[in-house]
Amino acid sequence: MLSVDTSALFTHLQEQHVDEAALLWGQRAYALKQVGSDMARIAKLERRIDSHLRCIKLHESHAWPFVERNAQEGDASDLFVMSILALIAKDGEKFETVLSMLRESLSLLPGVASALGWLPAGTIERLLLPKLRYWKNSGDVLLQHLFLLACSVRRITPEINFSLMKAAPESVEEADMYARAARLAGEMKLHEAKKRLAIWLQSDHLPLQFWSAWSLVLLGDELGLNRLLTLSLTPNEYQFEAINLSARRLPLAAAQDLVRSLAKNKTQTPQAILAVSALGLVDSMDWLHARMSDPKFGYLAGHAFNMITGIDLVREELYFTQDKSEDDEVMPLDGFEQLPCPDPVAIAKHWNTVSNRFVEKHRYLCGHRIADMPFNNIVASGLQGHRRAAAIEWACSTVTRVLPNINNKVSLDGAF
Amino acid sequence: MSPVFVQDLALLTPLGGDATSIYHSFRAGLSTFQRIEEGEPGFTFSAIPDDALNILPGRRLPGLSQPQIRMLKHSIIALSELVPRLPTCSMPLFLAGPEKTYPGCGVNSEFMQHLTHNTGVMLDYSASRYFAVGRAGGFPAIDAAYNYLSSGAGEYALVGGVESYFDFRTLGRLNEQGKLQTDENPDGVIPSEGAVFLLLSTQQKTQGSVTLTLTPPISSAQYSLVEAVGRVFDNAGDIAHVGAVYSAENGDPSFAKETTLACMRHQNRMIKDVPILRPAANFGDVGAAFVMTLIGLSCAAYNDSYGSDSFCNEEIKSDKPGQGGLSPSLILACSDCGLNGALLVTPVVELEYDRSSTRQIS
Repeated sequence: MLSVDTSALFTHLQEQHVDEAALLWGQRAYALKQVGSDMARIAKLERRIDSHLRCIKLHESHAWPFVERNAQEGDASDLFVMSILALIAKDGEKFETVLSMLRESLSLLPGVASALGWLPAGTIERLLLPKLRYWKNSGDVLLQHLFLLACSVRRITPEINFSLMKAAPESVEEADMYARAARLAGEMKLHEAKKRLAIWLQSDHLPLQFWSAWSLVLLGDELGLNRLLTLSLTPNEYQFEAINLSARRLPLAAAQDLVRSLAKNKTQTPQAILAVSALGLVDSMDWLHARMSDPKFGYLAGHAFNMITGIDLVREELYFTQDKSEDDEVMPLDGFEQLPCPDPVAIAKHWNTVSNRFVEKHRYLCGHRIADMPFNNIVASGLQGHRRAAAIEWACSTVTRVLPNINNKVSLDGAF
Repeated sequence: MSPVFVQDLALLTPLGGDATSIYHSFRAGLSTFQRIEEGEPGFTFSAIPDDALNILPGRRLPGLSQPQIRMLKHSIIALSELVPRLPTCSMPLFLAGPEKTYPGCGVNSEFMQHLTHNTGVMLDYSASRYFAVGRAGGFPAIDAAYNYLSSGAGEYALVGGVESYFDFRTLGRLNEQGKLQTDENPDGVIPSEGAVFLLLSTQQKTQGSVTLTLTPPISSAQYSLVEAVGRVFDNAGDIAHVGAVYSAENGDPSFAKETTLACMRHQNRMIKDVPILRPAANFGDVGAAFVMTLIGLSCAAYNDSYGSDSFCNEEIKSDKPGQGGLSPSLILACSDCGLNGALLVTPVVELEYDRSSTRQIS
């Protein structure tokens, strides 16, 4: 009687599964960043990634050589695929390969972080928690960084003693790991970290300084707000993130001053528009309207209009069907690609008919007053931009509310 | 009529050699299409890898044409996987094969001799039957198995489907009729191949988490697809709404029209916005192997959603939890010769599993 290993006939399909899983993960990572992405699109990508991963797992021995080959020459998306297999593997050999690649380049970290968040909920006890316990107490900076990442993406309380962490980290890797711890303190509302965060505000390491300020603000601390305001006013890699939080947490008058300061400087127009968007006051509508005519930043102003009022420019046909910005070779900001180019005349007309629904000096998000905002609904099913804003507002609403992770996998059901 | 269960299955298609892989490759959107640019016109096709033809090295197969040899080798691979799990008694095989468009195509006695010799399967030849009616051929084959099992003649029956379009005469005929998908004809057929076998029984298999039951199929050249679906629903009585439609549409616009019409006319028996799954878009037209392949895919989908190692699959949630909580799936196919058919596949889930998020109840 014949016996044929049918999976050996289809190694070319395994190669495709490995390639496609990484490619789709890249598309998902891009979609998560885009303010206009909806959950259905992200969920569809995730279902396809899951199916590829399932096939890779089914024929792991045939797929692994392709996984290794891609990860050696690839990017975070390839390491995502490898990390999934490594995390569910019974032996630790595959994970050692992941670690060695991470030690060579920390730019691959997003792939591993995503894999840590991808594991189905039912496997946490069996697969993740034993690893987390080991990583936490390993004394290895990279493993401790992974521990903090895992706690962050899965919103697990880390139970770490911040006072044991050094005031001044001794290496860049350690500073990066502390920055992750600082961020986690804000996300998980770890009030016991406040003292250490206040010390880290003085750090020369910008990520550590920023995430300490950011977390202190989420924990309701004034000291962090002052530092965040400074970071909001000057160009730096965290400026947009700083504006996004400070404009929401500053007292109204101070937040309006922030907008005015940014608007004075023409090079900071995008920052000013996003500050208006975060602040959510309809008082700035005339200024925002004027920005819509600017071919460079019209799309951002249209987005801010949508964020405040909840009015969908596409559904209400308030946009130019032919993108005017194309003529001017405008490069949209990261995360704001594929936004419609607003039609200022149509928007002004529409605004006149709906403006009576909005009251000046009150903050709005998606057409709702922040005070009576259905945070849960928006975080659960809004566009990525709306979800991000609602998550921050929700976390700011009380000092104990954990910041929802809007980059989480839509469904954590199932198993590999 | 007592229910008939699908106890086991083995599949070989261009998209994989087992139901779970094929199902997940299909869900992932993988396709196995290749282009032949040589000759006029170039066309798209989908084939099982040639390595599958390397079995039986150095053996001559007298009495068989090249396309028959190709189908035989695919059938041997698929059936060999199933044979070790078959009960140790002889059973009939109800096999669907290509439409008999010329003498010498399809399955003949030499084919069956080689198949039984190389797989070791014990067949009851007196009850076995062959159906050379193409794509919808799985329906009369299952119907014959149903009758065999219902008569009490045996506890088990094998049903199978085998087809390969990689035959110059068949491809030439399709080309002449303008049915192949080419640059000029984007709605044409993508020729493919496959071999699938199901073990049917009146006994419910207790292993595993999901067992499928099949309703008696309806197939006739006298009925339109709409009528065939109507009769299937009439026979099924009061069941949960259909949660997914698996269609053997192959790109031919007339079949697409028939399927859409059947779904529209019977939408009151289906969930809102019922998904119509057309796997030919991923692996081409597997002809007479199509009905069994669709049953295999639905089985993998149920296992995926309700099995112990499940992934959530929104497509097949039932809207009638009182009736087992699971939606049946509708399998549809039309043959070029005019045969239209349909049947319902209903899952039976073991008691320790349910649809809650925790899945397994201890």
